[in-house]
Amino acid sequence: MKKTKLVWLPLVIGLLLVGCAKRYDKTLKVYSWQDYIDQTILQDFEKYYKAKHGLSLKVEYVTFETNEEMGRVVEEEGAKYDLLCPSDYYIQRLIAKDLLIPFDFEGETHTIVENYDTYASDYIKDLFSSQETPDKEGTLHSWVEYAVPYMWGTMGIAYNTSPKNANVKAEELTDWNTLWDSKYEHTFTMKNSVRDSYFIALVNVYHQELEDLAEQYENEEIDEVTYNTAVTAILNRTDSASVTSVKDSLIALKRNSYGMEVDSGKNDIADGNIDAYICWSGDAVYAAELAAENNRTLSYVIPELGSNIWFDGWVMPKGSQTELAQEFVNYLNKPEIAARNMNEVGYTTAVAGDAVLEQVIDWYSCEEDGNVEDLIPFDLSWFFEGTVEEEAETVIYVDEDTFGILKAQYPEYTDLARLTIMKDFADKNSSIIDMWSVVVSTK
Amino acid sequence: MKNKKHFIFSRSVFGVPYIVFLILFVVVPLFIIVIKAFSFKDPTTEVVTFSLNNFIKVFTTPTNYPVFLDSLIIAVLTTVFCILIGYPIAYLLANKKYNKSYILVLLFIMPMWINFVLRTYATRSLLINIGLNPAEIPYVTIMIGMIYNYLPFTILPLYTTMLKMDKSLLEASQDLGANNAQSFIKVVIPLSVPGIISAATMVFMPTMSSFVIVNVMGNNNITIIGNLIQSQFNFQLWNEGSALSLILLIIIGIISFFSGKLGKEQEKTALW
Repeated sequence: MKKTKLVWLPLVIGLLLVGCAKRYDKTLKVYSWQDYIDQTILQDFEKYYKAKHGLSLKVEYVTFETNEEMGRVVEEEGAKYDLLCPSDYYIQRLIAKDLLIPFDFEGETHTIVENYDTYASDYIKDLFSSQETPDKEGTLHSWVEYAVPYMWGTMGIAYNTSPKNANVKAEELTDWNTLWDSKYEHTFTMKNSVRDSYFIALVNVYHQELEDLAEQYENEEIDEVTYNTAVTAILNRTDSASVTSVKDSLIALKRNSYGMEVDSGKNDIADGNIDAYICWSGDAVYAAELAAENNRTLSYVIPELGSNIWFDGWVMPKGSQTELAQEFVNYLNKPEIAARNMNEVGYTTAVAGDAVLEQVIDWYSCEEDGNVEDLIPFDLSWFFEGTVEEEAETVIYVDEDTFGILKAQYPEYTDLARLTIMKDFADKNSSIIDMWSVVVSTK
Repeated sequence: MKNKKHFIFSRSVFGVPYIVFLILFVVVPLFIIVIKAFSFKDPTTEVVTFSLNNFIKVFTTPTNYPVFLDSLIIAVLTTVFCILIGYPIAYLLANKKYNKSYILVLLFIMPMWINFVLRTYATRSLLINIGLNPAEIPYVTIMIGMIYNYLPFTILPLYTTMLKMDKSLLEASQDLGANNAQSFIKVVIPLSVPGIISAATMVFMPTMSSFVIVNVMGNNNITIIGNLIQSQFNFQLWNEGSALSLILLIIIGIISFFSGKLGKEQEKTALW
């Protein structure tokens, strides 16, 4: 009796599985961050797919909390997902481990993700394609072969424009070094994350070198590219002497700070517990909204000697259904869809185009009836150029308060030269983690 | 006889779900922790070998010692304060003279209905509003957060022990001429020792790893063993994190062994 019962069990399960699979012709499994997409877009894509191919599709959106968690799942459980959305340094790690399939940008007849070619901002495309990572055999690959940028942003300081502590001055926050000043004791928070604190300490350690570079760039002795390459090299130093200096520098910063946080900082600055907040641009925009409810105005600054620009991008792990995955990525790169995503998520999309521009104007423009008196022009042509209609106005007129926050949504053109991508620590990872543990444990 | 043997639905069947749960989520993870703690993965060859490296690393990192010390200090202070505050309250609650309607009991148990993370964030805001800044006096704010969170866990075992206390012993002591203070010291306190011990263990053990309270109430300015383990797991350093967890487990094991011995000498009324 018992044996016959056991025979039934797999049959029933099998039938159930078949039943599930039968309901949809195809399933697209996306593994990404929480609240990082407008969920209605998933359904719209299913409809779009049905209309185009006549096949029913189900998009499954599964979330992870850290790149490392996602990486572990992909490495250990193999081909489970069609699309992943890792951050820049983690894309690099996945390429190095040879876990990805390249995108079809140069297909025989056409590129499958043509919307990326057409609508993604040239600045982003150039930056992304100029990043190179060696694979297992040591062959260099441009990131763009394997990844399509999704959202991006910068790291900077959000600050209260009328601070509680009179020592906090907006004009001083343009330098990371200010945060080590004892006048700023307990007025700001830092990130409880080694990747988001490491480069700030490097600025502190190599301040003189960076100042000299900035001066040379200002005097036009070196061009933009040389300057950016040099800053990138400094902010990615991981030799043991640098790591040791960074450790001391971070301990000093920690002692001077209000504390380290991962998500309480937004509320602390909105409530006025702190006057400055080291943060990602997207969080600055969000914190500014929170602060506005408490009648506080926040502004955002990218300090002058250098900072971090980050990306999250779509990649296809080995075993992915590439056609389907690429079609989805292509769909996400439509300006209308990207604008909707940006509206929902709040981060800045890598896609330009008219729909996105309209969204930005709708959010920020203070222009009324064509009257731009007393307003500050904010030139976004560097981002939108070539993707919008020729007569489209890419200068947005904003008042001073709005200007401070628009800077978090899009950096100014003059900021770009000193924005650097932070590479993976690679073989230095464990020594830097050890260094960070010491920083965390030191009072 | 035969029938009895085949009767499946004996009482022990009810224990099966719990045994399965126990094996899956307590015994197996514990095994994994032990295995991870004693293994070492060579970063270049990726070969896993048995080794004491993780423990050596824990004990050779000088910054770990202040962390151990902080954990102990915070745990001991929390326990002492919780008992000092909780004991008189438990005494009042258990005494029908003072507590007729159980409203007091309710008031002390009520905070336990709400998740402790939420409570901790609320406490933090409250403290900042009254000028106790976690950036300036992290130990004070952490202690307040800890005591607030663990006070119900102290009161409850003390309260149950005191409820069960034989009141006739108190009366006897007074008949024999002891005044209130004397009978409290000579009768009530000795009789409530099992409650004190179980309260102490129930507070001491979890405080050693309560990293959330320490993070939130101290703005990450203070680190205890729990934080170290958490950050190591965050960095996917399973081996080192497991070694630390095992060390923590052993510390707690030793302490509860001794407190258990102490408790055995007393009447067995302890919760733990």
